[in-house]
Amino acid sequence: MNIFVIALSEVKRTFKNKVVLFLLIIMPVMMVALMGYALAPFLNPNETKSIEKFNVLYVNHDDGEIGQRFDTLIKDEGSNYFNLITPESDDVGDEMISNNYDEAIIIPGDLTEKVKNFEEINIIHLSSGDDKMKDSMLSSFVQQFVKSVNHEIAIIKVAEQHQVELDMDEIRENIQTTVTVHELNDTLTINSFQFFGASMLIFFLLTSSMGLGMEITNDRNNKIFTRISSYPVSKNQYLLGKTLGNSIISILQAISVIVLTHILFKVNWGSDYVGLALVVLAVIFISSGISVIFSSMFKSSKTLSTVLIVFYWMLTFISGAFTPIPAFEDISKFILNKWAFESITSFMRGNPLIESIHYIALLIGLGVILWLLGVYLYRRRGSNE
Amino acid sequence: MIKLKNLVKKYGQNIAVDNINFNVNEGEFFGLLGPNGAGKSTTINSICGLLKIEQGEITIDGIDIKKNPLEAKKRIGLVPQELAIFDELTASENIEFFGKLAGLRGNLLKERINEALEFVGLSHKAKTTPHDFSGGMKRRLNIACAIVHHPKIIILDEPTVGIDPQSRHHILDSVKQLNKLGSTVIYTSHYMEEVEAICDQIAIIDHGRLIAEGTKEELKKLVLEEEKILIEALDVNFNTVDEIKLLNTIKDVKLDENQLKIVTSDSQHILQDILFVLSKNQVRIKGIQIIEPDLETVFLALTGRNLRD
Ligand SMILES: Nc1ncnc2c1ncn2[C@@H]1O[C@H](COP(=O)(O)OP(=O)(O)OP(=O)(O)O)[C@@H](O)[C@H]1O
Ligand SMILES: [Mg+2]
Repeated sequence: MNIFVIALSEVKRTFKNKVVLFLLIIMPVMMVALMGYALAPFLNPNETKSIEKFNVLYVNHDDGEIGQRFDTLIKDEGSNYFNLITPESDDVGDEMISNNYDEAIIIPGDLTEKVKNFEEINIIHLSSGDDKMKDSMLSSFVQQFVKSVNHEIAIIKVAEQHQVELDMDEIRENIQTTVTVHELNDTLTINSFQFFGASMLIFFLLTSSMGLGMEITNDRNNKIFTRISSYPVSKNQYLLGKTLGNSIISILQAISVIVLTHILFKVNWGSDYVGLALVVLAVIFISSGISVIFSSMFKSSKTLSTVLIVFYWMLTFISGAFTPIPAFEDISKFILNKWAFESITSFMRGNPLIESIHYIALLIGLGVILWLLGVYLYRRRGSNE
Repeated sequence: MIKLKNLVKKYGQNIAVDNINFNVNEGEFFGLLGPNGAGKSTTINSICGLLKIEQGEITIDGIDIKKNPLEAKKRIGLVPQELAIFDELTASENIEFFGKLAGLRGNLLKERINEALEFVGLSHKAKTTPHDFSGGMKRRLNIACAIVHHPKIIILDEPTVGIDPQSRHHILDSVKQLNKLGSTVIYTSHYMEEVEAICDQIAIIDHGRLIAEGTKEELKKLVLEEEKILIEALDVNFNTVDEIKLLNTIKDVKLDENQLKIVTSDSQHILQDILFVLSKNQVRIKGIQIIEPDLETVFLALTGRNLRD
């Protein structure tokens, strides 16, 4: 019971402090707004670019059946996405550079022949690599076609060997209908508000659990902890109560950030609420563990909050959550922000929980380790002295 | 009710409490007197199970504080020396919080909150946060938080430091009343007048050691022979002081600016001799005062120091 008494008092006192409340709830939303608008052009490919058709240099050297099939497909299915341009010279690469085209497709002349010989085919896709979105759209389009043809060849080959009669038209139909244009690559489907919604949620959850560390050091310095200990309250009950109180505040913060960004900026948080809740709780678990550790290392709450704020800023910065920084791409894989970010954005893209379960496992594992250390340090410290 | 046996508490090399023994009986008003740094707070915090003690046994109502701290703590209400209240919570919310920690709920809790507020004279400030309180009011709230659950034992660690005489009076009266209602009280102070006025049983500690224990009368008996003569005088020199020291029954003479402090076992007979010495040395006397023994003299006699040095 004492745990709940302490936890509720914690929540009550936080709600009385209007400044803290403002920082907890309005600040994250403001940050999302600010960064969401400011950095939209860099992060909103589908809004700024993908709607427009883009130029593709297109050469078809194959007059046979397969070449024709690709021709029909790209002119039909691809007509909403690609402007096909016939190169003026033979050197397609040269022309890409001189005319500033990002993508080109070359169909080798032996395509149909290869199919007849039951050999695997290939279509050449050249890309400047400057525009990842165009690159991936076109490449997925080409690859699907190539795959379906190769698939067909494989079936025919097997059928021949076993002397099975085939209805080629039906097979072709089944395979061809799978070729569609994927408008966007997986990694590019979130917009800038989603990006910053996720990254700011994580950042502010980290910083708000800092309150736990500050509370513990403050209570120690103000003799509140000593006083509480003079009542029938154990050290563990105190720690659990404080942690629970702080976690409730953090959870309320998370809910309000998610709801507010959804209403204000139409941020789509996906529909895997269980997964989202798991990530939020795991981040709170981790950061409260960090707070407990730091509260055993620092005497003053000012020092503690300064050190922690700098620490969390660095983590967030390196993780690329303020703006993606290519130089940090490798280290960011080891940063907890990144794990949480990848999980949340995966939910936003509509992926199921299982796809990011390894990140969530990492987060929970880290939390457990931090808490073990935190409790050890907390219990070792004779906190009344 | 409370038993201390061979209590030792060290802070690093510094021995804060050095082998203290005493018993507090049920219903007693027990005073713990000693100068700053004597070890009063350390003793009290050890009794409340707040410190890791090096050695010794403490039992509260028969319960070993080390073995069963939570059970022992149910019987205690501690008013800590430092203010320990939440600035963000109102007076009644502060009391409510600690009342709940002590296990109170519902209507009983509400009743007790009002009672505690009334007790310390803060009923009219129930909805105010301590932020807007005077120092004395904060102290009173500090006390209210410790008595809300009607503890069997109330322990007050210098509750009146920095409080105006009127509030102080109010607090002392309240505590006395609690004692009359049946609570055992331990009261620490370095104001001997306070301790002298309200405590049945007094322990004097200095440098972590218990130097005397007993009722006020018993303690005074220890130094019954000691009386103090204070003489306000101008032009006293050290020869004069030395000359007085040579007189019969004189135990100590000190010159403090224009004040001579003379400790003697027989002021009545020696006063004349002292005055003779002074006039012989052409000292101009501005006032004479004879002081009967009090706890200050007891302390002085036992330690050779003033309580407030
Ligand atoms: N947390 C601590 N760490 C180190 N030394 C301490 C600590 N608390 C007290 N001491 C030392 O222990 C001794 C006794 O201190 P204590 O606070 O018990 O004295 P006190 O009688 O309550 O004095 P006061 O009248 O000033 O409150 C002092 O020498 C003090 O310096
Ligand atoms: Mg003290």
